[in-house]
Amino acid sequence: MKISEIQSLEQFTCVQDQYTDAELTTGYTSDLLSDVMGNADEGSVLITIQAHKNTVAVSSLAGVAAIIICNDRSVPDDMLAAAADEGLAVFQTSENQFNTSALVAQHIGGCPAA
Amino acid sequence: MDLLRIVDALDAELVHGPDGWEKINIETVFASDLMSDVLMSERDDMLLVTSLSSEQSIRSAGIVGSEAVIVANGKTVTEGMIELAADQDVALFRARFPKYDLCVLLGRLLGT
Amino acid sequence: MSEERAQPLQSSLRVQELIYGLRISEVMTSKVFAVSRNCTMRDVQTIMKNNSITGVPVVDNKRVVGIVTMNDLMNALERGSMEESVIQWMVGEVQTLAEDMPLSFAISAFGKFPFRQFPVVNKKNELTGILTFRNINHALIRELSRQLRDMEQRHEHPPEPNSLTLSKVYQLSRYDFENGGKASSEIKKFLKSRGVPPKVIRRVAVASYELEINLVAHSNGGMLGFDITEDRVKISSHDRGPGIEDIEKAMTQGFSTANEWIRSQGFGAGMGLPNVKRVSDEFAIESAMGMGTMVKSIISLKPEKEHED
Repeated sequence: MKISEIQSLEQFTCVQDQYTDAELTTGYTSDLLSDVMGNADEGSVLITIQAHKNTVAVSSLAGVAAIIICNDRSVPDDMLAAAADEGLAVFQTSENQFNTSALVAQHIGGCPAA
Repeated sequence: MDLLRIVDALDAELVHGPDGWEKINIETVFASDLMSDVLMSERDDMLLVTSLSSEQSIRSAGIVGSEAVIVANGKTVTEGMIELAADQDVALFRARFPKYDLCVLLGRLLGT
Repeated sequence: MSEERAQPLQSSLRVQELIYGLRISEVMTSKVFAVSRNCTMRDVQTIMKNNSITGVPVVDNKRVVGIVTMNDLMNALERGSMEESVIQWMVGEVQTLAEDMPLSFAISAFGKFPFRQFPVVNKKNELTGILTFRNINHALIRELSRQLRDMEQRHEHPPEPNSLTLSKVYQLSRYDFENGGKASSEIKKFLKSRGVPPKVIRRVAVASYELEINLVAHSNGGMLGFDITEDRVKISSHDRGPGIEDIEKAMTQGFSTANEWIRSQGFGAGMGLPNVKRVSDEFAIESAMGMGTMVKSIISLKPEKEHED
């Protein structure tokens, strides 16, 4: 699944669309930035409610390709600006992290644990 | 769904279980590491999946009446957490998979 | 933080919590002796002597422009400058307190500033009173005697063994995440043992837990009080600062001043205060920079006042 395909799913709204489209390898669900830093895979999509500009910084360091903000949490402008700088796509959804993870996995296919 | 079936499917290891934990009914899953987020949840029969391995995870579960907590990423569980789990009647597990993978597996299991 | 650290007696904590809830206007001396700019140090000396006070505010059209303390008077006396204007000797840039502030803010002010008295002003910034340690001691003694009377009365009419009445205060220190949550757990157990419906218990627990975490994560320490009657649970939180710069912002979901460390503890998502308000039937918050924050949450235990959702 490509980043742009998230945009076509009705549950997600793209709030930062200045990004280079790429294939998503897997997902990573976390709100702890140190955890994202240490464990998120290169090319993954981060599923989180941590709508903060530091999330962008950490994602970019960890090689996360896109961020999905769950529970309809509002995304601050400084986060969007940072994401635009880094070329990271940011999506918003009203779904919670559990549902979003399950949904994303249906489209990416596969799950390392399975 | 019985908690036993769920933790089997997730290959999660029991850290502390009150008597009869196997039969605890789970209807929904809540995955978060931010405790305020957990505290906003209003649902019953909820399983908390978190990568925050701290006493606050157990407290938050206890406060919203969630009877089971799974700590993701194979993180170390402290003695304090186990004591608190016993005190709050919360079943506590540890799974080696990351939270995303656990969510995906649980989604399939519960048919979300 | 060590478990052995001596905890003040519950009763003394309760008295503190009670007086912290008072307003400065209820405790201050309203009869203030003030002087105008053209008065001399000699005038001040006479006022201090006749009224046995140690500080006299200098006012200009009811606004406080300075204060002359015993110390300033001694200096003037030493130099033989008693006939000089107060302007020469007073301390300008006076720290004033607002009369409608909770007393807890004043107590932090006494801790923070070296002053022994604070002029108190109203909304129009006009001098309405003066607050000294003595006022606070009086308030404490008043509350202590009231508590004693209550205790004596209770002795004569002991409460039912399973009564829903409880009054308890917890102290919380900065960054003591280990103990943040203990109060909520205890109160939750108490309400459960009294057969309060789980949904109501959850609301009380959520409010008190968020407040506990706020004290631990964002304040310089403070206290959390519970006053439970048959009708309602009243939770009040008083801290020793630093105070909230913009309350409206703090009440906005997602806004947080939390640092990375607090976030790594699973907090600081900017949902705390909105969450407390959401579960409360009555909610109030007040804050003053450098002095502290007071939050009050009331949750009804009466079924007819069920929460809307």
